[in-house]
Amino acid sequence: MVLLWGLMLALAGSQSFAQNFPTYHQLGPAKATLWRPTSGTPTIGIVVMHRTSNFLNLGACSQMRDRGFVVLCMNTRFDNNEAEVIFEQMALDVRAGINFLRQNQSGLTPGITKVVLWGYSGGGPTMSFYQAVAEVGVGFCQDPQKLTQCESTGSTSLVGLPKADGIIFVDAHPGNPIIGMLRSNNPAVHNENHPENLRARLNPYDPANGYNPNGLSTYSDAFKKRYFEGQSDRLNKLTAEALDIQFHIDQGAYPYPDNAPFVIGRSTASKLFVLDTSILHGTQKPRKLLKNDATIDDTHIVDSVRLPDPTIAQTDESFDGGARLLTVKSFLSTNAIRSTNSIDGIDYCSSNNSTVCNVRQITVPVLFNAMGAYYFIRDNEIHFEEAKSVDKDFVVIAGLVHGITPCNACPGGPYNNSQKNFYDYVADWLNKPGRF
Amino acid sequence: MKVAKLSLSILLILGVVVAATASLSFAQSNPRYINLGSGAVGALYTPDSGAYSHIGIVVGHPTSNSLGCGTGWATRGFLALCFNTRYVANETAISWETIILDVRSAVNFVKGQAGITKVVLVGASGGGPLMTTYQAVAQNGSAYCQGPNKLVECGNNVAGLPRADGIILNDSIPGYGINGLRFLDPSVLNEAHPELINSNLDPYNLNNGFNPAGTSNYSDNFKQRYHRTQADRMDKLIDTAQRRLRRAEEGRDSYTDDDVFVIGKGETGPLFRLDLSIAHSTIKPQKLLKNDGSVVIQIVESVRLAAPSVGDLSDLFDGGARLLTLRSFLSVRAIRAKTAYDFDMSSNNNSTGYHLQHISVPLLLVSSGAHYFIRDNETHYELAASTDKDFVVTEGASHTGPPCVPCEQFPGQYANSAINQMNYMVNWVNQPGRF
Repeated sequence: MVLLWGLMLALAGSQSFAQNFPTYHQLGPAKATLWRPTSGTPTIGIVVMHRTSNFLNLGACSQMRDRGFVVLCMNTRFDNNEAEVIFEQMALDVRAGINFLRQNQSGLTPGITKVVLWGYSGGGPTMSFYQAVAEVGVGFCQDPQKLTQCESTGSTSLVGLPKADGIIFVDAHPGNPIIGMLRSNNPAVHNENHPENLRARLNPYDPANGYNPNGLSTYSDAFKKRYFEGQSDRLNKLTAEALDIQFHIDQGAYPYPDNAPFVIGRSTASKLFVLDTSILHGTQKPRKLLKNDATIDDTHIVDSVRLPDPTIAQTDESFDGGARLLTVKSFLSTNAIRSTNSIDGIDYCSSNNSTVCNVRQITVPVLFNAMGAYYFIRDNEIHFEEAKSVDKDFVVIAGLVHGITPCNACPGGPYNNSQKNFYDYVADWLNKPGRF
Repeated sequence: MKVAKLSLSILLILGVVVAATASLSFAQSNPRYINLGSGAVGALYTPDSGAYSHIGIVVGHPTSNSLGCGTGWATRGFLALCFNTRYVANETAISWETIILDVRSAVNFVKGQAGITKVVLVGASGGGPLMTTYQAVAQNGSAYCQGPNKLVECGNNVAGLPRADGIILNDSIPGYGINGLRFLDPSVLNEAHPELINSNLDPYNLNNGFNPAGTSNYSDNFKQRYHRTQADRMDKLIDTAQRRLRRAEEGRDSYTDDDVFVIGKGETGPLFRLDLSIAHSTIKPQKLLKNDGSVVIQIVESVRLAAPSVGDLSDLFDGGARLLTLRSFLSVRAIRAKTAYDFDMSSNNNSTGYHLQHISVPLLLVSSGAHYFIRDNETHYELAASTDKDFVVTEGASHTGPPCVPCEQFPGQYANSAINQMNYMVNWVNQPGRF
């Protein structure tokens, strides 16, 4: 009996762990999981990272592993804590991931010759920032017009970052300040100490302004204009307030000499384009649409098939979910940008956290993917248009939501093959002869 | 490791090269990433040989990254799951009464591994209250963490937790609320302006006994006032948080669910880090695990050094203040107290000493000889209901095990602390008849 039990343990172990299971690796303050195909010696490695989200088990890790690539899925030093984020420092974690693969630090990735960055959602600005600095140097991120600057000395210096060989953008944010704050804040707030008090003329949840609690809202052009300008106005005032606090901190005239809490009520949920899907509804030019049958139609304007979500009204009024709990430093570094309106009046290069500004500096091959049932289609078309790279591609994936899953309730379906189509498309792009 | 020893002999007979307990042939090359759900993640360490003890190890901490913790266990022949909770790196977001669901996920995962028949929880530092909360609720049911005396009650979603079979606490903190209490600077006069202080209670005032270059010496009178006022400040903070939360829930504030709660100088008032006469030793003779691996019984004095540099953080926001919400403060950092050393452990759900009174499984308490939890851990030992319990202080260990090199009187004096401690824990687990 004992003999059998001992054998069972040994065999169970050898069977369970003979697989290429994802392995955990600590890369300084960053965390990583390494996903390797069960056969072959891949030459292309992919680094996947966000800003704060847990990407250690992102769907792309296994999907791209299963298509023959080595994938390093990472969490930054700021995972799970937006209040801590100093955006510029995350480039150090991207560097750690690139070096980990290129230098075969684990001994598990001997064949890697090319490293491609995967910028999904908030990973878009993270990866584009990294590559822009790697390609043009720290002068880019120390531009005085930016609200915060990167370091060029000390342990957080960004001097000499190794370049990646390409970037895949997957429903990338235009920038956390743009999507997370500028376009998400409720401009009806007129007193930051009392965000519950709203100006009726800017209240997106007032039926008199066009709100429909049961479905698609319809706002007038006049309302939209003042709403988008109001969002800019509020964020500009918040930025001025934060800079003023920073000034007083620097002068020793604030309760703390280093940093301070910075709480912004009703600042995460009030995306007018979630309520009224006529806003940011599609591309401006005919673009590639990867359809559910895996064919590509590039002859039409691509419209988002997303559905409105009027329930964001409840999120808006809450603290958990509706407010941002930040510090002055994390606000300025990661959540602030200058603008005159929230849609097309943005000073993209006033923040380092700006995909648009960053891709203007990048020359390596880039692929932009936008999800067809979400609201980043036009943003990614802009990224495509602004990208300096000669080798660039842009495709919208039919009927997928931001989580890379099909929207079953959206019109024009089914979209049951779109997820597979998407990963296949990316794999084909990576494998195209001569690209890498 | 009774079964493993038998297995080992069989494997040797089979010609498999498996050496004794601490052999490098057990080395874990690459831990396996495990998604535990709900934001909790783990790294599974097993010996490269594939053979492991029937006793599985679960290691976790509420907010710190524990994913790198398992090599020591795997090299000694154990399967160890090191996990991070959903609140890793984010104390601001913690609901203590929810966090134990992540321990459940980890326990269930390990219980489900082939050959595992027993599970031992290992809680280092803040992992102490985490693991003891879990086990106390698992043994006593959800009613245990409910009741009108609790600042925050758990829900019935914690009913039916699978029990662990043993617990190891490695330099466990006495509790997040207790630490929250003892780290408060009581000289603060106005919570909105923590820079305004009562100089008579300022721990960094030379006139009160502060020594910026070494050990401070505060008078007994000062200590009494200080520790009493820490409790006073804690009481006021609790009252404020509860009042604001009531207002919120009644719809009379900006939010109805929660709000920010900042405690200036909330981390920079630990008098015991400045004056080493406080919490300096065990009260009774206890086991001391010496650097040569031997164990002696004596009153054990901490060899820690004073940390006057804590004062450098006193004015800061980063490192000096606690950034919480009303709910996370009440759930994690609050406790009812008369002084910093006279408190109601049952008033919150994260007091290690309280939980240990309601836990019966075998318990090992390891304390770090160059840190400041020696007396707390002795108290835990005294309070523990487990009949099979052990307490040992690791000579010269800084918090949770590594040698305190600056504490040494000659080079290498405490060089073996971490290895000795690990071996002690492993031997305790492997004690025949225990598991």
